Amino acid sequence: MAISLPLSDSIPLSDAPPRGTERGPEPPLGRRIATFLGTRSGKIGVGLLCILWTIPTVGLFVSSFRPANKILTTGWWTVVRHPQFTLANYRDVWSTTGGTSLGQYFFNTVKITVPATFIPIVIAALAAYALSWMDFKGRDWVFVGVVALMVVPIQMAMVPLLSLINQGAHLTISGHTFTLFVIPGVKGSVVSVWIAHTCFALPLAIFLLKNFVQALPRDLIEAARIDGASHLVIFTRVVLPLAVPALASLAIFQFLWVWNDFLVATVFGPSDLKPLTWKLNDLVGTKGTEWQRLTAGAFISMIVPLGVFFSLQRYFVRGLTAGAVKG
Amino acid sequence: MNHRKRVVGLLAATAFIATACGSSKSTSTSSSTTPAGAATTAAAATTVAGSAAGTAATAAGAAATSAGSNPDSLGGHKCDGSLKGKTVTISSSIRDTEADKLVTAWKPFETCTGVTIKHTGSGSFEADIKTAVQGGSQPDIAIVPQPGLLATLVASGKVVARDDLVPSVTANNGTGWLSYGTVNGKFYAPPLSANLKSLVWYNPKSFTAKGYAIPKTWDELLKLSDKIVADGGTPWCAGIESGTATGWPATDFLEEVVLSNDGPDVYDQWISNKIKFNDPRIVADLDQVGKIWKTKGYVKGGTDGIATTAFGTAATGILDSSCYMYQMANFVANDLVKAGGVLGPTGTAATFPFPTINPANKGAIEGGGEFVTALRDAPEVKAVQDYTTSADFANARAAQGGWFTSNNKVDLSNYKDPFEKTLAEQLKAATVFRFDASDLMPAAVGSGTEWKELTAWVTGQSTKDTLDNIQKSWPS
Repeated sequence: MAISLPLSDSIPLSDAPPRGTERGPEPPLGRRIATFLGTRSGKIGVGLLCILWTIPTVGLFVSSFRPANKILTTGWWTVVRHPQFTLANYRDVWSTTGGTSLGQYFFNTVKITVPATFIPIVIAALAAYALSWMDFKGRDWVFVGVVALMVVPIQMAMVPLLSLINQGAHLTISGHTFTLFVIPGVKGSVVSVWIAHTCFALPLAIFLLKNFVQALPRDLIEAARIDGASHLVIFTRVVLPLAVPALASLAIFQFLWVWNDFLVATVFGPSDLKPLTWKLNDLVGTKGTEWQRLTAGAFISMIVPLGVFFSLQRYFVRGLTAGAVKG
Repeated sequence: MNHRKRVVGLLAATAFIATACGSSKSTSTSSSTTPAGAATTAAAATTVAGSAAGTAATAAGAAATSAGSNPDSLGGHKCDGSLKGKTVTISSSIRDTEADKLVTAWKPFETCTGVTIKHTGSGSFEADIKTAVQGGSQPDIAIVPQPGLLATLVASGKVVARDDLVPSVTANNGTGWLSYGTVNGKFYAPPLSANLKSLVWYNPKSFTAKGYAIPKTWDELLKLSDKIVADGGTPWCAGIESGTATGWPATDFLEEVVLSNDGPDVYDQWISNKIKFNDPRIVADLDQVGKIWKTKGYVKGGTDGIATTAFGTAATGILDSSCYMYQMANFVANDLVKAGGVLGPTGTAATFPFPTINPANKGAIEGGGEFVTALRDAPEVKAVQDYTTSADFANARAAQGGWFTSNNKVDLSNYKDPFEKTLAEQLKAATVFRFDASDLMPAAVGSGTEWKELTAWVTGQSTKDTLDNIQKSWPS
């Protein structure tokens, strides 16, 4: 089977063609891929890929219903010939997690995830509008600066940011230390996790939204301006409604990232507000011997992301192609 | 168009599922970097967390009375509620039921002084604590399982020195334990708990059935191994797999041989690298380990199995007599109980002391422990630190089982499990006690190359290459 298609081009997220240009007479690449996938060999190829990708998850799922000693001694595929199932892992995870039930951590994750999704999107949407439709000096340089920040690895920025949040900024000149600023009331609260997630999410969020907002028809914005609308009105009444697909897809990305995040919450999170992923790590036991619990724990923690994904799938697909595909 | 949407959606869905389980898996690998350092035996899984609170409170009260001190005080602090409204946060690598027992053990102190203790156990504690100290979000107290890590924390300048505790720690735990909590001449961290490593697990039932006697010397051990082989059995189980920390059980075995063969002086110089890793004595010691692990027919599953068998799983072989002996620290009791083993000299899982190799070093044992490190200078933090190293705490914690301590003031009757009582008596009777060498060596070696190279050694690398490579990696 010859699948030599440059698949990455089928998601032209950041590759917006300049406004006003049209593609040649040849049908667009997306259409060609769709045609290919409609053929029998295309369907078989995609089907095989899907099965291949799903095998580890299926294995994990089957294992989560198997008794601990069976997981250790035989492979999950042996259930076909020797079926033996139990709900013990799920019961174990839900009840004997000591003191605090998994439900509490579920709630903690929600408490972290919802604001950490909402805040960066609001800021990014405002920034995207300003960088696209407001004329001010150095606008392009600001955008370049934001994009450049995407190359800073999260692991590099982590300790300095933690130090900034907890201890504030200080400047020492010839032995004298001046306090530049201190962020009050943030140390040891959930706000520091929100700040961290917002900081780490903004560059990509601004980049994606700016590309989308900039591609909106100039006529619409100008018509609103002639009608005497201010920037705020244009943003809320014209740009935001049109940007819903992009906002939704960004929200899904950010939500999934924060929900599955372990590192940021472990470093920034207060000790009494650790997320579900942290508890999952905990479930394995002090000696790392209880890992059969992870199988069940992983599936419990996946329920919400799966729900979010399937309920917003429409936006997800629309958002992936948003800003790039005409028609 | 419709097709494409569906396909992209499907692809994205599968990719997402893979990512989701990928991320949860990656969190699982960060198990405690040296389980060797974790100091709990977790033997008695019989204690129900709910009822434990009551038991512990009573035990603590009884202990306070039996120790002759004023029952109105705990760990040297008056029960006057003077610390009401104060909070002390503690971080450690202790999790799950063991963490619950710990929390129960300091409940009496909270009631007594009014202080609130918040504990967080993390599987990635060793890494987290360094980040937290750098970023200024450190807990008030860290329970550190490796003296090497303690030295790193002290270098940050945030650890509070406790030279005032020197007399009580010397009296309760001995000078050895004092030295593990001392960095550059200053005392920082008193011990919280201890574990024993110079042990060999066996199955008393099958030993009796076959008429095998417990070997006291290395020669007897080898003779017994040969006898078991002659009888058609497999003498040993072995497993050094432990996630990202794979290889640490091999370091323990080597350390025990070094200590028992060459004695504490060589052991100490080996830790400081005055005696090189590729010194002829260490080469001979590793070959001694090889005599057990690499002799054909000695180990269940052969040498290939050692590197891929989890240390906890390997232990269960003694229960069904698919092997007869297993060299491992006391805390593997947890896995044995879970697999249906009954602890104690009349049950199906018990330990005998690591056989003496050189009679001059008879009674030398290796162990590990955890140390209570204060990171904030405040009366309530010091009070909690005092309590966690006191006999009152040790009694309360010991009464819940699965734990033991180096504190010699602890009332042995609090060890409900005969198994733990034996261990405590063994520790008390030890002529020489030495801390886990790999926990004292620089982390680059002790929890780095030594693990990796010994794993390679098990799977066929020569003794010489192995020790040369470890020596090469020693930070200069």
